[in-house]
Amino acid sequence: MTSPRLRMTGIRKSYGPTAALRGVELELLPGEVHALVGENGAGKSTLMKVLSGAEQPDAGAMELDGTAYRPDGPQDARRRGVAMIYQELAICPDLTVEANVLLGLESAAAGFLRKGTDRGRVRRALAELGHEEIRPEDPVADLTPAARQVVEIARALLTDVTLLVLDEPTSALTQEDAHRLFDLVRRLKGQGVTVVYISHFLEEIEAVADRFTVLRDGQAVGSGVVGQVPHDRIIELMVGRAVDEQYPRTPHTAGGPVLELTNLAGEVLPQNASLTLHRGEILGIAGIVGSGRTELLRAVYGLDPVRRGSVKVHAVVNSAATPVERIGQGIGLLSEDRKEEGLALEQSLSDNITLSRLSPFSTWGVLSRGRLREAAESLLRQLNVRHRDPDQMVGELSGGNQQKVAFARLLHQDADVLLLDEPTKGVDVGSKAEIYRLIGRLAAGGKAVLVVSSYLPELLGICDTIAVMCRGVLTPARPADQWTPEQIIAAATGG
Amino acid sequence: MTSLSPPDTTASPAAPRPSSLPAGPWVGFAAVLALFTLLIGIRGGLATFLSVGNLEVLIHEGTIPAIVGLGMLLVLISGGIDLSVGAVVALVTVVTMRVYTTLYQQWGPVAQSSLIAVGVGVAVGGLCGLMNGLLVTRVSLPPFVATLGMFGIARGLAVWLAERTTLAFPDGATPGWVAALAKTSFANPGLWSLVLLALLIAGLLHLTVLGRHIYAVGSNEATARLCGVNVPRTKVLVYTLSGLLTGWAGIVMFAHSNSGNPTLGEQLELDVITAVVIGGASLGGGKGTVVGAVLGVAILGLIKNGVSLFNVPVEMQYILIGVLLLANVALNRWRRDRR
Repeated sequence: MTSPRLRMTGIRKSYGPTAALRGVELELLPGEVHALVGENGAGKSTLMKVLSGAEQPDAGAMELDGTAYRPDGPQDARRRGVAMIYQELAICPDLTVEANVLLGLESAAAGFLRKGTDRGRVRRALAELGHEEIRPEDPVADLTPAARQVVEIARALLTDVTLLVLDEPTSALTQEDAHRLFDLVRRLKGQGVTVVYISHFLEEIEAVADRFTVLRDGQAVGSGVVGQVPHDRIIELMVGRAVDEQYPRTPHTAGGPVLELTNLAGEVLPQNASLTLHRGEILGIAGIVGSGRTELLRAVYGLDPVRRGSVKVHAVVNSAATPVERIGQGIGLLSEDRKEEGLALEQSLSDNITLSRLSPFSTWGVLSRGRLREAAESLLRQLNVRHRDPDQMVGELSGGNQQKVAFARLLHQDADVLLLDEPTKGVDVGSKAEIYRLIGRLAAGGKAVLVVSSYLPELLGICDTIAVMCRGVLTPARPADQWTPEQIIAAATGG
Repeated sequence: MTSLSPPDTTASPAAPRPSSLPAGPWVGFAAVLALFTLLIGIRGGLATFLSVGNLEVLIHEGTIPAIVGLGMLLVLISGGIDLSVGAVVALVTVVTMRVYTTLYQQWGPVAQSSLIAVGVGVAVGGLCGLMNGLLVTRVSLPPFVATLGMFGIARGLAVWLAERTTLAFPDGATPGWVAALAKTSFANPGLWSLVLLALLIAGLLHLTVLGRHIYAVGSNEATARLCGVNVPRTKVLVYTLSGLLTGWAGIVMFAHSNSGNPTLGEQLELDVITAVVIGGASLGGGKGTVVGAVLGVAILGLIKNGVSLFNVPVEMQYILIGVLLLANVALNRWRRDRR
């Protein structure tokens, strides 16, 4: 048995009250490709940030090739031979290939670049990767995503790398480019480099990885040799928990169709989505982050362009519409990004809630602040938002209460079709139950609700029907009780 | 797993760019030159417009904005902005005159006193730039706010130090070099200093590690940090260099105006930003060249000069410059989106 390249013991990391890593144990061997799998929020990215020096752990120890390893930054980690390729590519678009590869590692004499030497280094690194066709002097802005990724890997190879982390490296790649990447990973492995490969796609892991470790709720819950463990077992480890939490339901029955999507496609995502949403129905969309669920809602709401397919609202087909027109048709959107997009945190509760429908509260364009306050206050009470005063700033409230304010705005708008993107993101357990109850009540009142969520038990708990998005393609919706969590994960990861 | 990715990409990763148009600033320069040659030619003043004497005037008036523009170029490439340059130029003229007058009266020698005063003046510019850099990095102020504050402080200090008047040289004690710098001629050392500084800044941007890092910080600050670029140090150096260049521009202004005057350089910052942006730099950072910046200043100078020679109302120049700026940036955006 060879000694491990890297050993992590008892790694802990918390952000405020939420524990992202709760004592992770991980062992990586020299020259192996090790897959790290787990649901969104399981702690994979945080763990790899700790490994690559971008985050410092609260507790725990790491050992690299037998000696203590505690990098104080990405640069320090690189010096020790640990490099990471982020999912969001880290590229300076205005610089050339050469300048990007060399960034932070330029050879210099008295501050002057040694361009001749450096060009040779860059060429060698690109040749080593089998990508001689990428010219060092070309601007990166002209490259395809796949070539940009090669540039980043070349950057990692410029220093002696012994451990390379790839975070969902195929998310921006075409099929063919993905296969070339797999070849590259195998070649690196042949040179003795340890590769950590993060992916949601079990088939990719099957193709490139030797061993795997499953992360769930900030802990390593299992590992094994790829090929010796059936997919079902890996999925079971990923899901882990039973669907036992409380999901209050209000009885409701579906009526006639209000929103029909046919083969809808956006700029990049979604690729193809069809569904029919009925009055009084709660339809859930499962899938991994980045599969195109948010983009689907945004396209329907008119925030993103619709390239193909049709959107039919209340039997009227108008596929390309602006948000103003959609609101006019009675559609409301709850953004997944509450801080940046959903709410104006530095504005008052009353201003945030009533922004969606001001005209009934104004005379000749002049707003009646008193009536707006009253309307806001009644909604705040109805939703049980803990607050002092409708004029206080939204930013002062807790996450759960902020989310209820965002809901209050939809109620004020009096939308018939609610598009809810991660409605319980960053919300405490107590408020979650209240939000579930509210969604049920809205459906019982005849509203049509479309819920996007990355939290499976929640979808299974509150939805009548569920469809799954995988790489931009939406499966047909099925009644929620006809899905098992394992089936949904399999559908979401293309397994 | 079916292929769901966008179509394409079997071709070589760096497909040759579609017929790359001639660089924007050159087009602009040629267009403006052609316009005025035509207009003034029709009216029969072409001999004046295209004379050597007029070229000397153009260069003379462009020297100060061009020197300041080199510093502004560095700042814009790094993703910042510097609104304080006009006020700093005024402050430098006042400080230089104060120091010179004091030294001359207490000590005597004209040459030495004036050289020390010049050193102090340039240093004051550098110090203002250093302050800008520290405000942006240590205090994390947005560059717009930091340099807007410095703009007010420098202008106020200049007025205060000048006691609300224009400071003239003591009788019969104007150093000889002042006249040389003020002369409208190709033999003006201010022009040579501009040429030298332009070459130095171009070398800095393209041959040194610092230059590479300035582009990287402006292009993607997070990536630069991740790759181990010392982002705060880079920014402080950029603002300090810009301050030093502005300081030297202040000395040239001191000579041109033959005085220490706290009202000089008004709106210089806007002129210079306009010129550098017309020259291809972007307020978003990561883009810009020395040639572009100098051409930008030349385009602006040509417009002002042409408008005055053509005898149209002076307000036309503002409109022309505004239109040119918008057209230029819109054109750049269009070309980028087409890719």
